[in-house]
Amino acid sequence: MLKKVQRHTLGVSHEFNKRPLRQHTTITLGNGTNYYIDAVPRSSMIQSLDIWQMEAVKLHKSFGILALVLVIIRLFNKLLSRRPSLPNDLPKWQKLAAHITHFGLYALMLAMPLSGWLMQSAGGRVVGLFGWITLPQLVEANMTLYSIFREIHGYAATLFFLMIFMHVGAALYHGLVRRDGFLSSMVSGK
Amino acid sequence: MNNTSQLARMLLLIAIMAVLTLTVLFFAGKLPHQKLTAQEFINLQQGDNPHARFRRAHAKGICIFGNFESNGNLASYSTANISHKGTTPFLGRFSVAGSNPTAPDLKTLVRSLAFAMNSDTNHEWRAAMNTPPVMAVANPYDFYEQIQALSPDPLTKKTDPEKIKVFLAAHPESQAFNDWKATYKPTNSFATEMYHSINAFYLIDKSGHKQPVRWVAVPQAIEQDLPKLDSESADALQIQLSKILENNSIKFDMVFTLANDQDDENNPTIPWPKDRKKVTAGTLNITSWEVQQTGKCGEMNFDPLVLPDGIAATEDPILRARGAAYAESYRRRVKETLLGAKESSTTHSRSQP
Repeated sequence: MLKKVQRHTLGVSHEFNKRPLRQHTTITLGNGTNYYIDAVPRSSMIQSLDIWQMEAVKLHKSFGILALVLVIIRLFNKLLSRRPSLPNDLPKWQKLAAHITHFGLYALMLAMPLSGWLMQSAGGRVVGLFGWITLPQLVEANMTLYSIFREIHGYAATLFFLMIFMHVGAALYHGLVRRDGFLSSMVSGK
Repeated sequence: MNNTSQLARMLLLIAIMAVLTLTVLFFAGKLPHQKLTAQEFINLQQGDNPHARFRRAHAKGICIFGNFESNGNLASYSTANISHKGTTPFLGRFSVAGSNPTAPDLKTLVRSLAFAMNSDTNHEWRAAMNTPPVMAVANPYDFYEQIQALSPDPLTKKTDPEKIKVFLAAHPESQAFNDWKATYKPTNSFATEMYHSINAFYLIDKSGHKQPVRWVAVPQAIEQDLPKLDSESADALQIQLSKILENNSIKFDMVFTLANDQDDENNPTIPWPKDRKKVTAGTLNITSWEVQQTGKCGEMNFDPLVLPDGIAATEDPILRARGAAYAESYRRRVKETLLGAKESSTTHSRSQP
């Protein structure tokens, strides 16, 4: 009974459809994979002096490009479908936080691979996708640009994690504490 | 609503987030760790008084330009572009070891030659070669210890012979390097040194067969023909180089040594026997130079793991460690350049041959 009421607050017309949900999963996997490549136990990719480091960097670049493709597909789909509105009784600051996080997540999902690709181009290095294709150089080799994009890539990663934490934390808050059906509408795809 | 269960669920949320946070920090290497990182390695190399905007190792150098004239002899071993007969321009750098960008040229033992060709493509080849033919140690962790043992005491400015003795006793694999060091005498020019790849690489042919190789740049120049060194100058080698290049090019033969089944391509401490097959792949012609502060080579990270299709890295732990270490050194100095950091050394003077 309670559940039905809460479902109603979400609004029928604002339900997730399944396609974006699948994309949510693939995007999470895409970014997640890159994180675990980036950070094999005890030292991250940029710290490691071990022999796997070189292979890790190669995979990192390919998965980064894959993540870029996925997020572009996701953004197109987002334009074509509506997302569920937040529960009406949510405090204003939480709504604002939700909007900032959502916008931030998409901005960073683009910024991460793009800054990576740009820094490689600026460093005179080519980026490929698992050796199948070679991507064009975005800028001419330039040390200053390299440094700018290298630092953006680093800071954006930290910010990305903060956003992911807010995202996961808020989802769990809806599912565990508020139990307002918002999380289950994401998970079930209904 | 039940307050106890509400509280329990809140605690569960906090617990999940805490576990997630710790997991991320653990995998990102942000928690206390024992394993040496590239950052710690570069910290050791740059010392307490880093020279902003300069490389943390081999800080002093000079940019060079030229071309690699391939004779095609490597084509049956590697599908790399450069293995086919033809001429490829390159950007390069001669340098001397150490973190001091104003160190006297003639005071350092190790000299280097680096090059990068075919940039911005899949055929890019970057190489960083040194005068010693082998490493003293076989992995980056021992290399760190080696630098610690050989570094002068910050107070007395002197190396500790006892520390070095202890290190050498613990590392018998340094024998070949020490034998080289005992007999090696630096020549009177950048143009007359032998520059070794030290680490081994694979040449990969059309059928995918991997041939382990090491290479060496063998000088064609003869010392008697070269301008005399001004041994009083801190920039003696650079000044001489610029004088040679006024009228002549400087040439090196690129000689590849092919390993056989008895050789361990992943161990950079062991020289390969002299009777191994050698293939001369072509000639490096150096035709002009630039100071590094304003020159193109200052912008380049000569990471030897940047290899063209047809040449691949072995699993030599020293070779594999060079990528992360070079990247960290590069990241630091380009950031300093971006932010306009001042070179901290008081003795700084631009080398202007």
